[in-house]
Order: sequence, then structure tokens, then C-alpha cells
Amino acid sequence: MFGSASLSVLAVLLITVFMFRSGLPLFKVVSVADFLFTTRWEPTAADPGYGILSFIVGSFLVTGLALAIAVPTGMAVGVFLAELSDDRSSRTIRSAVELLAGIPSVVYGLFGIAVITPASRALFGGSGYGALSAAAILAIMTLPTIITVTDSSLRALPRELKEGSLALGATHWQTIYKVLVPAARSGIIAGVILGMGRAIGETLAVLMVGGNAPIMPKGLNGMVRTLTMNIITDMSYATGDHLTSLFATGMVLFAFILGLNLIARLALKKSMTGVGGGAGA
Amino acid sequence: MRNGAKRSQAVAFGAIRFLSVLTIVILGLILGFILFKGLRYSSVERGTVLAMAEREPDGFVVVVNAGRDMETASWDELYGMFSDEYINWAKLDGGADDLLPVAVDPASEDGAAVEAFLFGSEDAGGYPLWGGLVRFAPTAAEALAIVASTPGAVCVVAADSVVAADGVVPSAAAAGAGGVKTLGIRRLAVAINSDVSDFVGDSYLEDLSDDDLEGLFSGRIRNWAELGGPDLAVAPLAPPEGGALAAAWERAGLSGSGGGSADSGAEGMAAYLSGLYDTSGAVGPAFALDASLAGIPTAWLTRRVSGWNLTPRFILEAPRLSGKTGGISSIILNTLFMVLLTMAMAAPIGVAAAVYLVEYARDGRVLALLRLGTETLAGIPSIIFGLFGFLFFVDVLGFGFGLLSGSLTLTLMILPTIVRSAEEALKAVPRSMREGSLALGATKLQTIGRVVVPAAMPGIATGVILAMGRAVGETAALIFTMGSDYQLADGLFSSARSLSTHVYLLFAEGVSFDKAFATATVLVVVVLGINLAAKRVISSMSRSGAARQGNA
Repeated sequence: MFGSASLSVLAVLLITVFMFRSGLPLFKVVSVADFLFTTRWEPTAADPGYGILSFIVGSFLVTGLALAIAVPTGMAVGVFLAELSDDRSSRTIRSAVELLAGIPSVVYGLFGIAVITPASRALFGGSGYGALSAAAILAIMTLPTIITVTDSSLRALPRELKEGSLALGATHWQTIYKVLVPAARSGIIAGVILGMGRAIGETLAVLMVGGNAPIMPKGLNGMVRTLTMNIITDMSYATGDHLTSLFATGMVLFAFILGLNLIARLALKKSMTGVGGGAGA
Repeated sequence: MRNGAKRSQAVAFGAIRFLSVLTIVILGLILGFILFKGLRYSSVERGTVLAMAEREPDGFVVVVNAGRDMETASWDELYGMFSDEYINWAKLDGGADDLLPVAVDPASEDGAAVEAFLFGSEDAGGYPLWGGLVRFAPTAAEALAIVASTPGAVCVVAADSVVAADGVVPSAAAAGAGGVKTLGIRRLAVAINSDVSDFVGDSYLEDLSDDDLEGLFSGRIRNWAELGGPDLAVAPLAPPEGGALAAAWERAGLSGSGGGSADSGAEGMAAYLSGLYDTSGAVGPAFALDASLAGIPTAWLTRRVSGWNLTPRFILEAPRLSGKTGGISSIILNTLFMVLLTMAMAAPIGVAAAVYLVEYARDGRVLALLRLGTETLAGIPSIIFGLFGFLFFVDVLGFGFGLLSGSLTLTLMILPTIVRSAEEALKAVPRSMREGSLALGATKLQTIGRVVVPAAMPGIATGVILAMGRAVGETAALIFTMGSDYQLADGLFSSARSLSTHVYLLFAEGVSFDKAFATATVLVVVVLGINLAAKRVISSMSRSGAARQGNA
């Protein structure tokens, strides 16, 4: 049983070791700075270039845009479910949101091609394949996480908080935005960060609608390639240093994810010791 | 002050309500769209002939075995069947049978007539190009008998050798050969003068839709430039009145202008065709064979077709031609194997890990490390699992691309889900049950095996089912570990693709968008079914939990 329990730790260690062992040799060919901070990605050229800055920017651009859409919307729906709607409809909506969370990313990608890219083409011009479309799909995919987290963080708060505020003469809305949301803040932030981790690591849906041009995205509507897309696109044919550079890309992605998870853990820890801790007691 | 607060509350709540309802409606529409799009297809078909089909073109019929899933064939398809362009039915009706074209021996009078019908008469410049696959039968009756007894056979015979009553029973049916039917033939093309079809600068005449055709022949479209072509006046020509071409043109519903020459004989027809050939900007109907023999280009036509996408056949048949035709049966089975294999590994390991974490581990550094490991593993994106699986299982352990490598990768990926939900379920088992069992003299292991785990079973099952849903929907982790063979897997090391990989590859390889959606619908239904099952288990668990507390 201990063996089973330690398998997760072992797996994390193995994944780390293998990612680094396969990715690090790249730095014999290019310097770390050139890899991270230049934009020339020509791994198959006679004088190969391995700069992934555009993909890092792409990943954060798409994820940032997605969160900019999903966080306000998701929080609004979460507040609606926890505070405004009646029990019966809340339950129905919650199960619908859970169902949407279960839909595979490749299906969202198909949906993106069939609906989002034509819509983007009609509204903003261009090919329709680009950062905006990818962000829209990611936003739809992250929405269930943010709705659920907001909803459950708000519902976990002790009744006294709300009743005390209302008893002091505050309106329902004042209670929500001055008392309840701040009290549930850490839980919501942790959820958003986890959602961000998911979004950065998402591959197929963005691959299908992002355009996948290995260049610095030209504006919000420009074609974009993210770290994940870079890995999956070239993986099928890459050899030698090119293959190593893909593992190095994976390594960078892995480091970002670990960093985000660490931040989420810190946020959660704060919520345990902060006001939210009172809820648990 | 108070009023201001009320007003801002009304505004804020209004905004939240609006945003929420909008979001929920959009999410609902997405779900509906995905399901609907999988059930019905609606796509644009491109070809050189109109949709109108003739049962007896020029007094001949095309007869196939009654088992074929095809109702009409374009002229190009018919011509291709007899000139070795097709060797099986895959590109014709999606079937797996070999193609057997049958014709009456051209040395006979009947056979010569069929030859002239298919390849054009010698006078018109036709030249017989029989394919090597064609089998010649001495008489029409024998040809029909072959077709009736061979699933993949097709033949062209004079219409009067088939009893006309219901159009399909051959006179040779007396010999017990009843199983044939006729194919409608689509051969009416829109011929355009070569001045129109040429490049003009970098613009080129676009595909013509039904609406464009109507415009061309009703006089609404007067210049080819309106359709992306050259700056030339449209000159619609009408076919000779009373002939077969005029009749077909009438049936296609486009003979608006009328007024063709009265000579419907061979000479009138030749004059009409040379009119198309010589008149700049001319457009008019022509049978595909006539146009090609006369050297007149035909326009590309597009029309929207729709129908049922997700049929029982699609689920029950094996895929062919990378999934372009056939169904997804082998892929459903491969997905099932993958899920079973993954669960057989992940469920016992995950539950054992949870039991250790809840029942044995003392609070401290080791426990914190184990928790950290599980949580970190849960946050790693699937593409990283895919890379790792490729490096470790495929390469270092040498399992190659196959079911085993894919399942092992998935096992690592879904392990945290199972561990965490099993932990919660075990923690929820009341202390009194453990103490009661221990007080009765059971050992700790017996207590866990016979009391605690069974009591936590609904919660554990829920976690396992949810993990299953994640495994079914995964793609990125599988592309570089499980391979992409669409045949039924025949062992642990056999390359296989799951439903979600199939959806991606159908799209990425440009095979078929409609099939991708149909597969996606099956995938969504499976995943939703799995999630609903998990909800069922949760609700039955909370019921039995309430009962347990009621008894206490």
C-alpha cells in the first residue's frame, strides 16, 4: 500500500527527470537565453533557430485573454447560483455545468472550428484562426471550473457572515460584494489559478483554432502558436536537436505549471488560515 | 443614500442575472449544437453534374446488386466503373466489396449499343476504353444473372431487357436472380465556352451554385464577372427542342429561356454543341459525355446536401479508408479495451494508496510529501504525460506505440482523481464502524477490507467512474503513446486509436469533418453517460449515508 501511495511521488520524480534529461541537452546547442528570449523558430533550417519566445507569449496571451473573459462571467454565474437563483434551478444549472466540464477538449476544438472561427472571421476579419478564437474556446472550457469554485466557496461561508451584514442594514448586493466575495476570495483565486494551469496546458482545442503559425502573434486576432501546440505539431516528424528542443519546450511548460500549482497551494493555505478557516470550524 | 444602494443593487443584480442567463443559454446551445451536428450532416457537395438523375438514360439502365447502398451515380462514376478507375466500392458507396463491372459482349448487337452509350459512337469521336476488370457476358440476361448473384457487380443493359413493371426485375429473374436494382444516372452537366473557363488575370470562374445557375439562365446574371469570371456577356443557349437533352433540362427545372432549334436529331445536336464551342460567353446544358467528346469545358457545380450522419450502421461498421467511409465499431472496442486496461491498473493502485494515506500514514513529512506528489501529478497537463509516456513506456521500456503504453500513461494521469476521491470516501466512514469492528476482535486489515472499504465503496466508485470519463476524453496524452491504427487491436502492444483520437485525426488528416462530428457525438454521449452514472452513485451514496446516520 505504501508502494501504491508513493507511486504518485515516483511518477512526478520520473516525469521531472525524464523531461529534464531529454530537454537539457539542447543547451549544448543554444544558450538558455537564446532559447527563451528569441523568436526565430527554424529547427529544420541549415542554420537552425530554436527561439520559443513567441510561443511563451502566445501561451500567456491566449490564457490571459481567456481568463479575462471567463473570470468575470464565471464569477457572475457563481454568485447567481449561490445567492440569487432558487434552489431548484441552481441544482439544474449546476448539473449542466458539470456536464460541460466533462466534455473532451477535442470536441470543443471541433465546435470552435464549426462556430467560433466563422464568427471571428465575420466580426474581426482575418482568417478566423487566431488568439481570439483560441481564447474564446479556452474561456468556454474554463468557465465550468470558475463557476463551480465561486459557487462552492460562497456556499461554504458561514451563515452568520451574511446575516450579520444584512442585520447591519446592508443591502443584499452590498453584502455580496463587500462581505461574501472578499471572504471567499482565496478559494476563488486558487480556483482561478488552477483553471489557468489547465488553460496553459490545454493542447487540442487551441491547436484546432489557433492558426498555429510559429511567429510572434500580430495583435489579438493574429495567428498564434502556444507551447503545447509547438510540441504536438512537430513531434510527429522531429529528430535530433529538433526533438530535443521539443522536450525542452515541454520542460518550460512543466516549469510554468509547477510554478502555478505552487501559487495555488499558497493561496489555498492562506484561505485555510484566513476567514475561510472559520467556515471549516 | 438608501435609495442609491437599492438602485445599485438593482443594476448589479440585473447585470448578474443577464450575464448568467446568457452564459447558461450559450453553454446549453454549445451542448445542443455538438449533439445535433453529429446527428445531421449538411455539407456542400462539388461536382460537374446536376443532382437530377435519369432512370433510363438513352434507353439504357444501370443495374447493381440489390444490396448496394447507392441510389444514383454521376456519369464520371459510371464511366470510372467500366474503365478501371475504381477497383472496389469504397469510394462509390462506402462498401467493402470488390467491383465487378459486367457488360454484354460488344461483338453482339446489344453489346455494341451499350459500348456506344458508355464511350460515345464512333461518328461522334468516341473510343471504347473498356477496363481490364470488365467481364463480358454473351447476353443481357446472363449479365443480369451475374449482377444478381455478385454483391459488387454492376452492368449496363438496354432498358427493354428489364421488365418495366417495377423497373428492377430482370427478365432473367426466372432463373432465381431477383436481387438487382437500377441506379439513377446523373449526367446533365453545364457546358461553358472555353473563354469563360479560362483564367482572367488572377481571377477564375468560381463554382456555380443552384442559385447562380438560376441567375444565368433566367437572365438575372448578365456578365461572367459577377461570378468571378472574365468580363464577358453571358450567352445562354437552349438545347434543341424535343430531344432527350431538352427533356432532361426541363426536368432539372432550369429551362427558363426556351427557344432552342427545332431539329432534335443528330445534326441539330451537333449544331447546338458547336454553338457552345464557338460562341464567346456561351453557357448551356450538355450531357457529360457529349461535352467531353466535343471538347467543351463543363462548370464546377456546388449544392448543399444534408442527411443523417449518425446511423446505426456508423456505430456497427468498421472504419475504412482512414475513417472516410464505414463506421467506428473497432474504435469503440479499442476505447473499451483501453479504458478496461487503464482501470484494471489505476483503480487498485489508487484505492490502495488512499487506504494507506487515510488508515496507516501518520501526520508528518512523509504524508505531506505523498500529498504533494498526488496534487502535483493532478496539475500536470496531458501533453506532458504524453511526452513522458513516449520517452518512458514507448522508448525506455520498449513497449512501442500500443494499448499498453497508452493505458500506462493514462493510469498515471487519472491516478490522482481516484486517490483523492477514495480518500474523501474513506475519511467519511464514521470512526464508530472501525472501532466496532476492532472491538469484535477483527485485525486492522480485516477491518479495512471487510468494513471500511465496503462502506466507502459508493464514493470510491464515483471517483473511478469520473476518472474513466477523463480517460475516454483524453487525446493529447495518447497521440504519442497509443499510436493511431484504426483497426481492431489484437494485443497489448497493438497500435490502436481511441474515439477522441479518432475525432482529432479525422479532422487533422482532413478525412471528414462530418464523420468527426458524428464520432464526437458518440464520444460526448459516452462521457455524459459516464458522468450521469457517477451522479447516480453519489445520490445513492448520500441516501444510504443518511440511512446510516438515521440508524446511529
